[in-house]
Amino acid sequence: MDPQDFLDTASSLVNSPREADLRTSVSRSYYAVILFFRNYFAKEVGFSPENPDFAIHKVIPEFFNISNSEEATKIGEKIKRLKAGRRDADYILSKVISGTKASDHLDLAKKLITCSITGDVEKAVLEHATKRARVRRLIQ
Amino acid sequence: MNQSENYIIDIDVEGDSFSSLTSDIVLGQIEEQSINSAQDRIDDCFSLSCLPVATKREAVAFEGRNLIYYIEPSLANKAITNLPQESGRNLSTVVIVKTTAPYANVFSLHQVLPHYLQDRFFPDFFGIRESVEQLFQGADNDSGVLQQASIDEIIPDECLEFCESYDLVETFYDCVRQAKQDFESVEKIQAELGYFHDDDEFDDEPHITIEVKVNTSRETAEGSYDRWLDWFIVKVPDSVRKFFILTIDRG
Repeated sequence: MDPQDFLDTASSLVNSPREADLRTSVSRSYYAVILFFRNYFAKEVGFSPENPDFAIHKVIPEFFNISNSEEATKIGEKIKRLKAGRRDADYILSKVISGTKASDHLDLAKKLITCSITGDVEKAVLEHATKRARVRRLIQ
Repeated sequence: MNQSENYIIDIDVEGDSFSSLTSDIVLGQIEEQSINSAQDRIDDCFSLSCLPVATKREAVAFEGRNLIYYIEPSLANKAITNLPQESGRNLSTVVIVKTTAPYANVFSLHQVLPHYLQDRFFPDFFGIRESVEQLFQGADNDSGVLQQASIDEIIPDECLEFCESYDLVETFYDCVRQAKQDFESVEKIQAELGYFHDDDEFDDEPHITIEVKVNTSRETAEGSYDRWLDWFIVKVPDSVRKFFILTIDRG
């Protein structure tokens, strides 16, 4: 399944009057992004996307967090922001998750998936990700 | 001066000590070698006095003209420039403690810690009172400070304890302060200590989420967020960034 299909699910729920649907929307927005980038890095760096040692929730933002690329680091920080929203949506039932929040998360997720990482930024990201993958023993 | 806020200002002038009592300002002396011991002294003062307390996080201190602890930047700059510098005397430490409730009984503080505050009234030799009043009048007129004063901040003690344990207090307040500066129509800033509950990942990472509640369009909020992020990435080292996440609540 294409991770971006989760965006369709998120979109179908974002206007629901039920908070459970809105929470699901926030959660699916995050998973669309994290799995999209999981597959991207797995392919580009060379490891199995379903490697059990691949702690994707921590590692994906880490792949982007490189000090010599502000653009890449911003992507990582935005993924963290979606991650925080997903945590609240999935676990913190005392918080209210509004339609506005679900909609904002969906919008951010769409932008992250469609942002293009090219040229020197892509090169820097992949070099950094490869190093991190070695440290984490995802590749030799 | 904002009538809902009272201030204690302690000024240590090398070789002398003085105090002046007004309805809102108490001037006294703290003389410590380090910010940690100065903070401990402030804690002692307020815990023993049983006054509605200012906590450590609201204490600020300088060494000379170097800010060594947190203060609102506009207030810090005015504190440095407006307090008098008499020849032969070095302004070594300024501690500004802000409380959120009026002092119930300033004299109890005097009774408990006479070496901290001296209940003496004498001519204000150095124009301290005037400078301080000008300082806070100026602060009241500063729309930036006024705007910040009206934003509801919710910062639980556990957040600060976490920040203290990881030496992140200054960074935390920098993040909050920058958020106030970069976001428009901020209604509330709320910090929360959190852990990521990730399925299949057993190493939960503690971190501080700073949620900025705004009353703006998505486009405006995201533009503000990008500005804050530009600052965050440049000013906060990557080894520290992992401890902070900023989120937006548009209701």
